[in-house]
Parts: sequence; C-alpha cells; structure tokens
Amino acid sequence: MHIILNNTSMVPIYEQLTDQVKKEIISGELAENEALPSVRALSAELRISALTVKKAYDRLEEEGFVVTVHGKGTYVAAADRQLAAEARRKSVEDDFAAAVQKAKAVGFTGDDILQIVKIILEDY
Amino acid sequence: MRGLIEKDLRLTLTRKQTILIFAVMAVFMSMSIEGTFIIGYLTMLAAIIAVGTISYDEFDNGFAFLMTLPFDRKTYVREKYLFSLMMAAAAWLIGTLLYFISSLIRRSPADPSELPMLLAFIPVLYMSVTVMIPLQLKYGSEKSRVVLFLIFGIIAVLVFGVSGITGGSSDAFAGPVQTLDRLSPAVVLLFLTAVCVLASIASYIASVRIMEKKEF
Amino acid sequence: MLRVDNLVKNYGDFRLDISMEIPDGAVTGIVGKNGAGKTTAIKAVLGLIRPDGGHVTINGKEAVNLTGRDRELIGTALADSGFSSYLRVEDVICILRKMYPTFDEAFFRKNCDAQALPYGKKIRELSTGMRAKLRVLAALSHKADLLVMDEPTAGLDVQARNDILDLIRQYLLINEKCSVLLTSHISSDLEGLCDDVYLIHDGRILLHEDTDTLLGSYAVLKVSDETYEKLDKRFLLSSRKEQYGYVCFTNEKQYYAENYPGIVIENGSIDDLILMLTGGK
Repeated sequence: MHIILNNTSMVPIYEQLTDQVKKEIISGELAENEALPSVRALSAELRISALTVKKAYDRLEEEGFVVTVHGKGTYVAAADRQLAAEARRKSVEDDFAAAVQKAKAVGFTGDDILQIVKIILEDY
Repeated sequence: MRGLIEKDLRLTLTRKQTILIFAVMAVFMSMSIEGTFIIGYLTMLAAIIAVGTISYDEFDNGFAFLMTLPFDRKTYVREKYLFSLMMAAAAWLIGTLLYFISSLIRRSPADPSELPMLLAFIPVLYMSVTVMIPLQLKYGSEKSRVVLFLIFGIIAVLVFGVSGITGGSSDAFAGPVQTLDRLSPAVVLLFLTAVCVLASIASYIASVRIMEKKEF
Repeated sequence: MLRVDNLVKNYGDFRLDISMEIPDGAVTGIVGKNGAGKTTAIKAVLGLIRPDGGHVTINGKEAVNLTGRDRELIGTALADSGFSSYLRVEDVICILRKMYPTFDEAFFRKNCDAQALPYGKKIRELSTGMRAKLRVLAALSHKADLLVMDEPTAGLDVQARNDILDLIRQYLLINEKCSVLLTSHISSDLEGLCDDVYLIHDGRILLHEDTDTLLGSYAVLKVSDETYEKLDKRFLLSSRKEQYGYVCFTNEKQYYAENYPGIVIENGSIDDLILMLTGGK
C-alpha cells in the first residue's frame, strides 16, 4: 500500500486513509483477499495513532471494502463486481458534486455547468 | 532479591579503586599490627560499604525508578540486611585468613581454637549495621551520618559519665567483663549471636516501617 | 487495565484531583504545562506516592500494594530517575537479567547496538539522548504489558525523539496487547502515537479527547473584530484578543468552515490546545 497523508489538510486523517485504501481497492492495486497491514503496523509506519487506523478500517468494513477476521487480520473483501462498480460510480459522482459546488459558489447556473461539461467532453 | 544483590554487588564494584587501596592497607596492617585488629577492621569496613549502597540508591533521585522495579519495599529492606551480612562475612573470612597468615610469618602461629572467639566479630560488628540501616533509610545518607555521630557521642558521654560517678575507676565495667571472661568462648559467641539476631529483628521491623511510609 | 478513580494528592497549596481510564491496548498521553501535575499522576500510578483520596488500580489491584510479581508486567521510564549513574550499560544488562525472568537480552542488545549505546561506559558518561534511550529500552526489555513513561523525550533533539518514539512503536507492534501511559509537552510526540489525550492543568483534567478527534475537529480560527462580533460563539472553547482581531479555539471545525467561508482556519494541534485552554484569557 502506498499511503500519503497530509497533516495540514482540512480532511481528517482517518478519512484520507479510508479514501486512499478505497482507491487502491477499486483500482485493483490491492487484490481480493489480500491482507491489509495490522492496525499497529500501519500506525507505526504512518506515525499516526492506532485508533485512527482502526477508525479507518472500521469505516472500510462498514462500506464493504474489507472484512476483519477476528484475531487474524483485515482482508480486502471478495470483489463484488456490482459493489465495485457502484463504488467507482460513487467516487466519480463525488468529484462532480465537488465541482458543481465550486461552480455554484462563484455564481454559475446549471446551464453554464452543462456547457463546460460539453466542452470538456469534446476534447476527449 | 537476586536482582537487588546483583545491583549492590555491581555498585560496590564501581568503587574498585577505593576497595583496592583498603585491601592493600589491610595487608600491610596485618603484617605490622599484631593481633586480631585486622579482622575487625575489614569486617567493619565491609559493613559500612554495604550499608553505603543505600546512599547510591538514593543519589540523583534514584529511589523513584528503583522502586518501580519488580520487588516490594519489604524485599528491598531484607536485601540490605542480607547483603550487609554477606559482605561482613566475606570480609571476616579474608581478615581471618590474613590474621593466620601473618601469625605464621611471625612464627607464632595462631591457635585454631581461637576461631569461635574470632567469629564473635561478626555479630558484634553487625550490631552497628542494625543501627545504620534504619538511620540511613530514615534520614538519608547526609543526615544519618550526623545522627550516627550523635548517638556515638551520647554513648561516649554516658560511659564517661558513669565511670566519673563511680569514682574514675572502671569498676562498673570490670564486673561484667570478668563475668564474660569466665564464660567459655562458645557460650559468649552464642550469647552475642542471640543479641545480634534480636537487634536485627527489631531493626528490620523499624526499617520496613520507615520504607513503607516513604514517598518517592 | 489501569484505572484512576478520583485520585487526590495534596502538596501544600497544590492539589491533584483526577480520574482516568486506560483500557487494554490503548496508548494514552497526558499533556500539560510544567507543574500541572503530570509527574504526580505518574508517581501515583506507579505506587510511589500514597494517594490522599481515591484509588489507582492496575488490573484491579491498588497501585500502592503492587507486588514484585505485579511489577514485572510494568515497564517504567522516568524523567529524572534511573539506574545509578555509576553503573555501566553492561551492568544494567546483568541487573535486568536477574530482576526480570522475562528479560529479553537479545532484544536489548540488538537495540543498544542499533542506537550505538556503548556497553562499557558508565551511564554518567553518556549523552542526554543516550541516557534517555537506555531508560526507554530498559522499560521495553521485559515484555511488559503496561508501559508508564514520564517525559521520555524531554530535552532531546528531533532525531533522538524520533528514535525513541520509533522504539516504542516497534515494541507495540510486537506486543499488541500492551497499554501505554506517557506524558509529554511536545505535541507532535503525542499526535503520532497516542490514541487519546488528557490535558491536565492545575491538578485537574481540563479535557479528554481522542487524538483523532482532536486533530480532525479542533481548530484555531483567526478573525477580525467585525467577524468576531458576528461569529456564532456556541462552539468556541476559548477566545483571545490579538492585535488584528481574535484568535478562537473550537471543537467544531466543520461548522465554522461551512458557515463562515473565508475565515482563516488552522488545524488544531495539541500545542494550541494547551495554549488556548490553559493560557487564554
């Protein structure tokens, strides 16, 4: 796993961690059934508190990305294709939502935004 | 307990140079001074060094950490009595050896039947340990030295006072001493040992009480 | 594992009165200024001082009544006390070997080598950093399941501090069940290690919070006088007048970020916490 945390970011550390692990799972960098580092190991490696790592793992488990086998460790959940697709879709939606929010904040209308999207799509 | 003894042995060994100087002095003394002085000298010295490990424990606020190591306060106190006894006994052995060797060199071999009497050095001198340990624990190394001098001072004054009252002669002590002389060495040794054991028990109880009340 | 119930200790005018709980496997930090009562709390936990009231229990046993056997399971490093400085590192190894049946000599020597601690030197001849490392190593050397450390990194440079924190982290990796209680006044030490933090001031606990929440929800707001007037003050823990306006401390960063776009928000650190809650007006 390649985790890079930004201590000055406004995004809480555990959220940064959750997002990055999620990304690796969705992109397939973390394979199905692969073991994640133990809570203490990751906390030592990233020099953050164990509780923060645990919070992130709990969140990932709630969202179905990983499963924790008691006393053994945390593993990447068996890839539910639909779930993965959904997650991918959700993450794209989130990015769009953020962009829309930004656009609204500077006074763009819905049409303005659609216009921009169209222009961008033409480039691809 | 083993850990504490190891610690005290190693603390004592940090004074290698001092001990070496005393040892060399002891050898010279045993050659030059006739008699059993050397035995008492070495035994007393060892006892003082052993009790002195308490001041090493105390130095630099060391007690706080020491008391977090795996033993209770009672064990700490018990070890000090045991360690002092071990040191005194070892020193007595060396002193006695030196005494016999020097007597051989002087061609007036000491009689092995003196041994029980020589052995009496240990309980007599260990008595001072039973005074020093609780004092050291209660008052710390600096103040306890003062208190120790005070006690010896008072004893001296009392002795002189008593002999002064009895007309300057040492009659007051002559009686008991003569009685002692008449007894066999074995009985004397037994008697002294019994007194020493009683003193040690009383002293140990006092020391434990002092130690358990302490805060670090 | 470790419980402190209404512990009271009086020293003249100073009065310590605290309650804490450190569950199994938790790493807990105590922060506060000098003289706040951190060391007194640690000493009570270790049974070195007798509480005037309340209880300190380790695995259900009163701290002042801990036996030698109980103490084998506790690793201690104190700020101003350690093995006699006349002893050599080698002596310390021999003593620990006889003291603790669980002493892990291989671990100890491996780390002494890694930290370049000279075996033959007396402790008094070692640098401050090396002495601190030796103290921490001694605490970690016997598979303790509770570590109690008073200012393990005080007075050290960044490198030595990191070395010591990494030693503790590595130990926790191998001994997952181990709980830790440590004090520090260097916030970064605690931020990267502790699960939760107690802030002590004048002998009382001002705040107890998960480090994570502390770093995620607490923040310093910097606002002009006009903005300050309009600011919703419900979630401000403290405010201080500065030349340019006000510095405020909040535990609801998100709320202010969303409702007052444009105001300066800085992530709260434990340093800010100490300053704003104990030093502010």
